[in-house]
Amino acid sequence: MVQLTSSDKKLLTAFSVLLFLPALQYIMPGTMDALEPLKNIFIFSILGISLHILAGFTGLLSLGIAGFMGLGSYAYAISTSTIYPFQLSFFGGLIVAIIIGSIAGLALGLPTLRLKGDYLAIVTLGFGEIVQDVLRNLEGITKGTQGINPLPAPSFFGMTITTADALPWYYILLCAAGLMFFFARQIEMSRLGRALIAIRDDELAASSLGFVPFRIKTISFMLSAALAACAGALWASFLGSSGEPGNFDFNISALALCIVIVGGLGDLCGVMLGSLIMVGFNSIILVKLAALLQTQQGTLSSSVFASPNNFKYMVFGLALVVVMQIKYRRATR
Amino acid sequence: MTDQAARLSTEHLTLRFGGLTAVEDVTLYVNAHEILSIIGPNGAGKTSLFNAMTGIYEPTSGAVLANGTPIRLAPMSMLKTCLASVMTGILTTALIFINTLWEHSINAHYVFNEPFDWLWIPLGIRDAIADEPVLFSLCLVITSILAFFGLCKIQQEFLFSPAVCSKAGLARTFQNIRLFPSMSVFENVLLGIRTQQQPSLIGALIPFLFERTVTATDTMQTNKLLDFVGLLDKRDLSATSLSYGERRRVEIARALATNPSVLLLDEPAAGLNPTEGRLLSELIESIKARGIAVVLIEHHMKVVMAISDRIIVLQNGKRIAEGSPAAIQQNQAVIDAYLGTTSHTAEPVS
Repeated sequence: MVQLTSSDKKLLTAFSVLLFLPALQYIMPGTMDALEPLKNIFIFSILGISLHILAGFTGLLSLGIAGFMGLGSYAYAISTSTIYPFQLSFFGGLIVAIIIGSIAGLALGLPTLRLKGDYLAIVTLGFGEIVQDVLRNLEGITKGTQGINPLPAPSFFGMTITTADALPWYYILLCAAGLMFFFARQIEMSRLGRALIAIRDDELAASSLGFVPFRIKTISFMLSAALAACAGALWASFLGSSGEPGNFDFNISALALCIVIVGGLGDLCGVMLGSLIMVGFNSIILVKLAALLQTQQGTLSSSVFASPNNFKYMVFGLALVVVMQIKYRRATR
Repeated sequence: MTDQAARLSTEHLTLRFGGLTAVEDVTLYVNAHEILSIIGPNGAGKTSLFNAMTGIYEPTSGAVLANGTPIRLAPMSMLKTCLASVMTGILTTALIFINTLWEHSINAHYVFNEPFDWLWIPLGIRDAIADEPVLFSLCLVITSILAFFGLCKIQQEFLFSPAVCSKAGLARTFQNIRLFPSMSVFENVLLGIRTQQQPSLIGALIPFLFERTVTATDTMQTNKLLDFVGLLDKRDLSATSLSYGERRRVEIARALATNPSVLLLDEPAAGLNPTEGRLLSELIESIKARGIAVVLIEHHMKVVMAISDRIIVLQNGKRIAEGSPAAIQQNQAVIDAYLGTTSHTAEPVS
């Protein structure tokens, strides 16, 4: 039977708080819409977990995670849209996206996993750019820059949920993020997870114990790609559109990297915290700040700092530097 | 020289790095219940020999045999790797060809709201090949090149690698201790358990409902091994917090966890104080008593002379002498090459 440890109990508490969080919106005065940014946080926490499996467990740095997200989003869109013959249900589309994602991970992983560190990062960075270009130019399949939309509203057990329903989507994404969290936790505690960490720590020692690093790295690459594709599919389903190829650019990969590093590389709960901080900053604080600056100035100023969108990546970069400094100090002390 | 019962043997093993010959024509064997020591001056090729025997370097020529059979991959795994290569090829063709395929299968047949028909795919492939034979043959060429490189990579990883050697029953420790720093002592040893079967994704997810971390038998075996090396009370400490001698012991326990028939120890007594050295000698003796063949590289002559059943002396990659400790001490070639002009052997040479 499952034994609950104290950290399990804390996590369950956090989960139940999130379960009743929407009630707050109706109790609290004002027009604060808390559900919208939280949905983004859930999506990006799945993306963060996917990068965490690769960078945190196995120690492989990938900068092309947005490419897999885009593939997942388009795979979901193509398999559920009415303009194509497949017209699968929500779960069918999700499974197709995960399969496509893991195949893409395998196809990228097989030739590139002999690379290490920075070199792998450069190859995956290239992959992310190639995916965007392919999606843009394969017009017969992906409809080019306009994307595939609208997607049919998914239905669960006879209940159709449109993109306008905020509350059901909140719970669906919460469950998805929770499921992925426990999935990654299970991986971490299994023999596979220990093998991944062993390969991060010392590849030669792990291989002399009988692990085949190539095989285990490929599994972790596939797993990460599948989770990123899953995040893309969920994103497409709650937006009702595959999005356009430019949505899956390097900024998404950089944001995922920020999430993993701000959360403390190698810690799963940290990933959740990181996505809360980074995406929360992105979709709550920046939005409010933009509104504030608008009312303050009345007209659009010519200053670069007038719009937070202009300097948000500077803040992300600063966060990376600060966290790396603190972690580095702690590691050397 | 080699008999069929030898747990580990090499035949005319040679290892070259470019023009440098690190190991030259070394033939050796080690039986169960036996401790074989390999000694020699610095740079004699002892560690290179170890690396060539455990799959870290591929020997330039010669063979490594475990239980009388050359170490190589099982035919089933070979079949799997070939299959993987072919699948990669088909996948690559499909990716390059996807636009044409899509046009001839989906776009050509799809009428709005008609259901999908699996027949469209073979029809689409037929039409697409007929329509663009040049592109298709180009795809096939690119695919076969990619598949060839994929196969080379897979061969290189699976054919003669540390993992394959570990599967054949070889376990080793390293000259500079290689523990996993982010794990506890217990986890370090646990990693060696059950490595005969590779960890799989499904294996990781099936215990989801039944158990959290490790099976009871894994825990029991790990504890038994930690008890064997005398570190059971330190099982939950971080591997990096242990002393040098204790880390050596953890590494030995981890190697033993893979259930080896041969244990290769690379300078286990280096950096140990006399007490720790004596404890280590006792530990190696008790490993031998378990029926495991032990191959030992050591500079610490007291340890070597006390516990070895046979000694092989290497110089410049060549084997210059072999025999019992007493015979080696009297061997003039060894004395000239290694011990200098005095026959006094009690001092450790470094």
